[in-house]
Amino acid sequence: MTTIYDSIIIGASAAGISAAIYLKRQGLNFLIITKDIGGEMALSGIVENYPGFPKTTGLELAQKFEEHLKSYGIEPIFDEVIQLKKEDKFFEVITKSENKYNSKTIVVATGSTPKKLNIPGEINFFHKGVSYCSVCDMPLFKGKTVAIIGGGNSALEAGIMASNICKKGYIINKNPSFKGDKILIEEVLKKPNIEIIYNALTQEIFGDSVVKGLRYLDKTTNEIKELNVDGIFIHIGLKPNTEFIPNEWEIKNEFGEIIVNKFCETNLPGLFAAGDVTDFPHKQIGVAVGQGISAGLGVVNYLNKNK
Amino acid sequence: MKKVIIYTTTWCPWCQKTKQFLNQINVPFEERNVELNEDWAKELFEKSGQLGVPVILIIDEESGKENVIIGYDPLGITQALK
Repeated sequence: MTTIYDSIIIGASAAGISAAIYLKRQGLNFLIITKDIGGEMALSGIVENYPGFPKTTGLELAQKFEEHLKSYGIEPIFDEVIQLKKEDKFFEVITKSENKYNSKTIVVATGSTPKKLNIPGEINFFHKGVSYCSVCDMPLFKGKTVAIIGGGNSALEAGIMASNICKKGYIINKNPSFKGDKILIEEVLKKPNIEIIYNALTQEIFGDSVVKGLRYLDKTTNEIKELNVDGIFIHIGLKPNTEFIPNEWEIKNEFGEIIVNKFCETNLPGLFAAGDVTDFPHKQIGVAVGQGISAGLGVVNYLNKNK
Repeated sequence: MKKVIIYTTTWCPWCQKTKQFLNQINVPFEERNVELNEDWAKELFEKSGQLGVPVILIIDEESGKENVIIGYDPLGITQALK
């Protein structure tokens, strides 16, 4: 006989793990299916804005979250959800390793992944000068020249890092100003070896066995310009991981984010979402924890009402 | 016997995850933090063509054959250790 779980949580970072803790404490029969623990948070370098941890790292927080899961005896299934279906009252979850699971409710907590520029050279030069992880790879460009592409906090943080490690850094921002925190913008503007190029659209990355430079469109003069750099760090934001959710359910917005109300419910009964994958504007670890809890409690209410 | 060398940087989360994995499966390894030694940074590029970490080098000490694993890849490491 097929087991119908009370809930299936997809994803195991701040939101998914918080939901799991609340479901476990309610004695529900549920699964967590996830690719890894900590997701994008585990890659976020130093974290200084999560209460209770004045200075930690994303990876350390992920380890703490995992310990918390284990303390409740919760063991995630390491797999990737590739399709979600709803038939009658129940959901069917299909994974990459061709397993199928059924449940009464779903909590989508799959987070997001770095966006790509989708320009020539980006894929060919990945790890040959192109990187999406400044904390990982910037130290390999000690004394060299790098370009950082983006206009938000991640790009600004990468700029600060480059100013300390590299000879010279360019920040290429497609907009006329930065979107990040004031404290970071002010710090970057003070760095003598960081040059900011505004209104610039990166068009192409070139090189031989490694990156040699990039070309961008100067939107002010409409000219294509060239920069010679050794490394390129791309920080242009994140894309929600929602490809496995059918478009016909009409619960995603134009950016692919899942639209939720303040209880983290979607318009599809029984389907909840929490964390960076939702349309909530603030993509923060603390917010994801709160939404995970809200979704967990939402699942409990839903199950009580639909007995 | 196989010798395992992992090229890292100090704050790289994937490097930490890789080291954690090697510890979990009780495989001793030598860490070469390329931030601390420029020769190791050159060696990383020569061995792998990579300007990124982690890179894991698994050397069969009898045959001298080198297996290069790029990125956090528990499955790749497990297969190369067989």
